[in-house]
Amino acid sequence: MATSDGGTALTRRVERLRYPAIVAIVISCGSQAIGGQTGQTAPAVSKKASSFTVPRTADGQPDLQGVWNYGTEMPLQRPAELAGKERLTPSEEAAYREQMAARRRERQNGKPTRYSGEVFDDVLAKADWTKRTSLITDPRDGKIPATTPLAEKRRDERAAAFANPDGPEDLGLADRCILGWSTGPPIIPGNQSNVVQLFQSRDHVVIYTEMIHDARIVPLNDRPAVGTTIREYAGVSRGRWEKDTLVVETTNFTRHGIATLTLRQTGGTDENMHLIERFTRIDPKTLLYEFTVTDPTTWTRPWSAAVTMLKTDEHIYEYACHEGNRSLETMLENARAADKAAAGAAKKPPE
Amino acid sequence: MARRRIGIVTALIAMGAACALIGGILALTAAPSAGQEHTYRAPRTADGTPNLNGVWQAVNTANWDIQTHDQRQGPVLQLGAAFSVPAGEGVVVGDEIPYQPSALAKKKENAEQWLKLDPEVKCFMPGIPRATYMPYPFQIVQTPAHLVFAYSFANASRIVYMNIRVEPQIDTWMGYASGRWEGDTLVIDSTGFNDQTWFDRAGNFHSDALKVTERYTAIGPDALRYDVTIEDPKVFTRPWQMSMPLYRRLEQPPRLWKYNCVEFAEEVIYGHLRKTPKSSK
Repeated sequence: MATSDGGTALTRRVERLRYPAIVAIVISCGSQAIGGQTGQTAPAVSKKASSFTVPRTADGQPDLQGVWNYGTEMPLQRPAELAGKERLTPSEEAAYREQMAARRRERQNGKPTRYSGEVFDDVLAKADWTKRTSLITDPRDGKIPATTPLAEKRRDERAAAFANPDGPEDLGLADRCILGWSTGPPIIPGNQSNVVQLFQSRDHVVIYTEMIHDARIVPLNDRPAVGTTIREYAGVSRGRWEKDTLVVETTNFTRHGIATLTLRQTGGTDENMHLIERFTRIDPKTLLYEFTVTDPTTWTRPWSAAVTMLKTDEHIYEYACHEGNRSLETMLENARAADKAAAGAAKKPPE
Repeated sequence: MARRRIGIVTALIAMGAACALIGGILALTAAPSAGQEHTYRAPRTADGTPNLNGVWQAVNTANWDIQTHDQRQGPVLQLGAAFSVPAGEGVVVGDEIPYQPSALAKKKENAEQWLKLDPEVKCFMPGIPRATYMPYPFQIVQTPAHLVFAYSFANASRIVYMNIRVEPQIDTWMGYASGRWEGDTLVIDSTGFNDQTWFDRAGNFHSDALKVTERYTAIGPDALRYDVTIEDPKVFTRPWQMSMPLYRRLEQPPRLWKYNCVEFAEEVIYGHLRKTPKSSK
């Protein structure tokens, strides 16, 4: 398949596709750079007031079609060292980028690694950097709101099950290749495969994410909500146009939550999650993606984030995962080996 | 073809008035023939191409066996009549699959070890053309530049690139698909398959040299004719075809519920690694 950036980037992507298990391991170990304290400022993503007219499809709808790269170095939550700082000046941005690159070099220094820093740089450097310091726009401190006691209990139970899994269901949806990683919904940038393709017919939009080969079909007509009996991992979506903005409302999630790891760290999500996503083209090459999560059994208040997606000539590739999930097998083998070791230790007479 | 049809029409006119009454009766009572099927003109999308948008499904027993088969006991005795195999007519044109001798031996072995070897049991992406005629629906979302095919089974999907040739970079489960319109027929050429998917539960298989040419033609507002040509010089001695109708799911509004089957295959794949066997829970 022809790509704009030629063989090397493609070869790396092919490498990823061939080894989903490796992807699982790396993702499980990565993406931890989020934490910190409360800030004060109120970032809001300004939609560029420009003369850009959104092109139309043959059906006369705003044309959002194309492959969009949502990779970014911008963390979901504002890092501690940037607390209180909503945006960076150009010199601060340059310094921060250098700092992050140094951290990556340090992380892999002298260690064998499947993913070179080069891969990350390659993917992430393409990303737009809008000078904001967190993807979260609300609350104003750029942090995910406090979790409810119920969610904390759930998180601890999940963590305990994960630490010594009895079977696959104790592991994450992404570990099981059911849903993940950055796909959400909501879409939250991760380390790789940060690409989504949008397709539009008169009555449907397809949100086609590479991970894990999910084609989310969003009906556009104002159809009634479905009952609560049927639930899907990626929820059930309905869409509508508000001027040039595609608004997608999603409900009917499962009690397993969604797979985004960052959210797992904060206790995951619940089946009652209600998600609003807004897709708006703000210039020929940029799609603004905003979402608001309301999940009262998980968080004490709703929260919102904004991601800028850049148009790319790359194609979406088939992300087979379950079909070769050696990672899950290994995780369970390790758990059984740990059981055996523990049983052996217990049998030893005290010295 | 057109010339021949004109010839037939001319001949009919020549037979003339004497047969007019009988002819009229025949025309009113005759079932649609294959020739008449192709005279149906599908509604158009806004860009003027035949509109194939919708949720579709095959209604046949091809997923059990693409060749004509008698009824037989299912693999799990406790399921009795609920999961045994009904008889069905084959969807293979001529009902014969031209296997090379060694490949035929492998097909038989596959059939004997079906439950152990069939990728469907493990919820692997089913490949093309099997995804089309599994007993689950699929949805087509059509745009001028691409068609998205989303399949209920295993949440599988593929993107068909219209009017450009996409070259496979690596083997995949669902293939690399290039599409074009030939009159009212959507023609899709797919290559870049791995050798892991099957055609049915009867062990019919292919290699990574598989080339699939699919033809989707609307034969009425709620039906498509689905013709497939299979080429695989590593397994078959010549190309061969399948043909079947596909039906529109008329539920309103149409909705593709995904059969996220990974969780149902985990016991088969990972059950031996469980701390507490499921049966003892």
